[in-house]
Amino acid sequence: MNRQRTWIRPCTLVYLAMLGLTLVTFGIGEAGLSGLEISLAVLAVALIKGQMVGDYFMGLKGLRGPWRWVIFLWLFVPGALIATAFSLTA
Amino acid sequence: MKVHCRRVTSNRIAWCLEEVGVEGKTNDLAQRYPPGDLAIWIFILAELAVFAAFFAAYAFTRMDNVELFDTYQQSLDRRAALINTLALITSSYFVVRAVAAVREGSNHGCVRWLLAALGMGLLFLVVKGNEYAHHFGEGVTLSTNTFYMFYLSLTFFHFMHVILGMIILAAVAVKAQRGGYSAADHTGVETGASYWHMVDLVWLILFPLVYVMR
Repeated sequence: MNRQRTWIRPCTLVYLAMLGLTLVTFGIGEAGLSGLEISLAVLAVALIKGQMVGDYFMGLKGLRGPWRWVIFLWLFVPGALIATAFSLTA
Repeated sequence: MKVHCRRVTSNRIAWCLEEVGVEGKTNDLAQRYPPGDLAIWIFILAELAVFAAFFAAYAFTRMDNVELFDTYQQSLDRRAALINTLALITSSYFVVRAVAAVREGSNHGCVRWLLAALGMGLLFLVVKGNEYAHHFGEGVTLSTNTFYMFYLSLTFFHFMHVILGMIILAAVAVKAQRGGYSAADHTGVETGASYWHMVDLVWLILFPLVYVMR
């Protein structure tokens, strides 16, 4: 059987993207950047990485029904609460 | 025909349905339920709910102590946290490869990837342990201030989950080493993998919240 091989696995691309996003977050911290916009941007990056874990590492991306949204909901609820708390102190 | 299903998993439900002759349901079930044992997913949801409450409590407590939180956040070792974040993401990736290996029928490949993931988990424990040693050496305790109370309790709670995750992965690796899984039956690997990804997921929020956001 002639199997077509891709040059890199999708999970490897996701992994590399997550490493890059982590370095961005670290860079923001090292640069001493602060403020509401920065905090919300850092939070957004974290939520995107979390969704990547749910979709591609946990394998929820291809699901139908409520389990598809479990990680999204988990990220959304605390994410919204954290964003609210930081917004109220800005 | 009498069918016994001792563990509830999507694979097993699908197998049971095939056994009793319900056609066309296998793919449908595989697309509706997450990989691994459903019981671990209930456990994962419970754990995630606890961490979500912890995160919200941290953020809302910070509202009344912004200066204190921002000041003591600077005392944390962000480089150590970066190493730990990279270690957990890498270990999660290795676990994904372990699942892929066993799905291709390679117990040997599964073991190798799991051992690599365990190595990353061990690195996390060593780095985090060094951080704790540094803080305790400076006399920091849970009662030092509100920030350290949250920092120590949140990270130590997560630390314990890393240890539990490593025990689970080690047990899976031992069974894989004995040829206990196959391309058709590898629910145990997926179950352990799901738990480990949860440990990674929690840290991905904890790291920016506690070490970076201010």
